[in-house]
Amino acid sequence: MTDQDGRIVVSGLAKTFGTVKAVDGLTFTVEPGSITGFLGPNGAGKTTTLRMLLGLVRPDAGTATIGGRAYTDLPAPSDRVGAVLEATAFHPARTGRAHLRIYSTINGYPGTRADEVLELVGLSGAGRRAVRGYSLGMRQRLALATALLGDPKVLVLDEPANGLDPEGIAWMRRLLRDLAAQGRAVLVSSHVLSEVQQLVDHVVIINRGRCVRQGPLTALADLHGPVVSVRTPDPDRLQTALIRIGVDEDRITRTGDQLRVTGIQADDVGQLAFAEQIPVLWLAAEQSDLEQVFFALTTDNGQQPALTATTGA
Amino acid sequence: MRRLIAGEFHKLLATRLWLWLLLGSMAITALYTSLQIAFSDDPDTWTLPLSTADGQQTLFAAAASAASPLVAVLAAIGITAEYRHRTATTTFLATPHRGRVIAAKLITYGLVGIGYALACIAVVTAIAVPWLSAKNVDLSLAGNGLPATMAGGIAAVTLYALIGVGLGALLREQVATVVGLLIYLFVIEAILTNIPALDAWTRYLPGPADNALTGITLTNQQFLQPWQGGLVLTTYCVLIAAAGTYLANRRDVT
Ligand SMILES: Nc1ncnc2c1ncn2[C@@H]1O[C@H](COP(=O)(O)OP(=O)(O)OP(=O)(O)O)[C@@H](O)[C@H]1O
Ligand SMILES: [Mg+2]
Repeated sequence: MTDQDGRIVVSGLAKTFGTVKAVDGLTFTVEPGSITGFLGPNGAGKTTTLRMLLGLVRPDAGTATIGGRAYTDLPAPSDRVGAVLEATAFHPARTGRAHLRIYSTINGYPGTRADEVLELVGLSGAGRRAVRGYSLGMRQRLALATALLGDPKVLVLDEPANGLDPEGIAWMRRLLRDLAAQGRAVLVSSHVLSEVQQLVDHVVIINRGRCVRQGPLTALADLHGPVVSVRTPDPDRLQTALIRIGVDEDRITRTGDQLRVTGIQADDVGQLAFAEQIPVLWLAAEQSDLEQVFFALTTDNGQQPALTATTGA
Repeated sequence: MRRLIAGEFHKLLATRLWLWLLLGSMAITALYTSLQIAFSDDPDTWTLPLSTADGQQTLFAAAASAASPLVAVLAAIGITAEYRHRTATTTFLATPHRGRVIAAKLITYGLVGIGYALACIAVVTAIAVPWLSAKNVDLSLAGNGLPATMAGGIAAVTLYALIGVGLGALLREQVATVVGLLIYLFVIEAILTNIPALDAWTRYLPGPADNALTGITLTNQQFLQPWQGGLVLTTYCVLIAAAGTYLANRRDVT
């Protein structure tokens, strides 16, 4: 398999259910060999898009390809693409192992493969129990195990962390990171950025069925710019000095003796204070608040022109 | 296709439903057979005497009469379970060409139908051979058109299995499909076939066509020729399976 095999290209995809425009001219690209977060609020059209990508829902318009071909045209698709679309899609009376063996048989994998993937997702002990007795977290693991049966180079996961406890989420992150480190492309959807923030390299953010942003996660952070917090006994003078060197007044928030400034590096604030001989009690560069950027991007009235532009990956 | 069929057998055997319905079919076969032999001398019975070829054929048709509805139910449950438990997503991810999935199910449940029919024919034989010999009635399994009856019975059960698959693909709702199937076979058809004015039409319904194919002769009802019954049943089967496949291909799996 070449790297090209893993590229996901979604182009002009559209789907209307009754009167609901679930997906509305969606275009984006996912490069192979990376973890891409597919983000959007509830009802944004994530699941519908993934189902169209995987040939389960027929688009009204547009195309979606994996490695240049529609999913339905891939020979032995389970060898190339593993997908988790819902965590509860099991026959309750079958055991986890029986479920995996059924799909191993259908795909022509050896019978031992079921036990291997059970081990991989930490379900070995529960493999011989009926799925009806599984917790939601166990079902998520079994769904992931099903996707991994064919050792695919591309993974498409719809909200795989749904219903997992913090420990389960940490486990899922580790596993996905390991899988990506083996050279797989992972497309993982979520409606909360923080859930995948430490995991993904790239993001595709959609809202109301349209792409509002795609690109590296770091670029998303840059949209907001760096944030610096500083405490000083003389906040008035520091504020005036900041404005003098060109910082916009509304980028400065003042709380008591503390100033919070966006769009400036901590070094510059320190240098300025020193030059102006303003005492600094405390100075910190804040982690960029991505959740706020995400919120701004996906809230309709909070949209700013600069944030809605779609950039190439 | 071989792998898909093996997978379908895996699915079927992963739970015990097939066994219960098989035992049910065999029990009902035993009941029908015993009743017919026990009441064969009753002047009010609608069957012909067991010394006649028609009477013996009707006796052996009990196998198909018992197994057909239950095989259709098993097949319908088998396919609608994919939608009910949402495994259709996983199934169609593994095999994006949904027509192949339905073809595999048709073949699988067709084979299951043959198995059910054979088991039920064995039940009739096991009951009829000793009992009729005790009643001094001549019975040769190779004579009196019985081989044709048995072949017709196997074909009928198989066609019912295929109809069950097609109906499930068409309707997708498990409870609606199974309840609808049973109500049709045991209530609607029973009522319609009991209206003498409709006799010329009702013989083309699946149940009477099934009876014709399996060689049943009753004194109160007219059936088509066996080959005509087979043709009618095959037509239903092809139409329903084709409609089911067409819709399964077109409908969104959400
Ligand atoms: N089968 C369907 N029939 C009717 N409407 C649907 C169907 N599937 C999705 N929709 C609608 O399409 C829109 C997009 O739904 P979708 O499930 O793709 O969103 P999502 O981004 O996955 O949301 P969530 O984060 O809640 O999972 C929603 O308004 C939803 O109500
Ligand atoms: Mg969703």
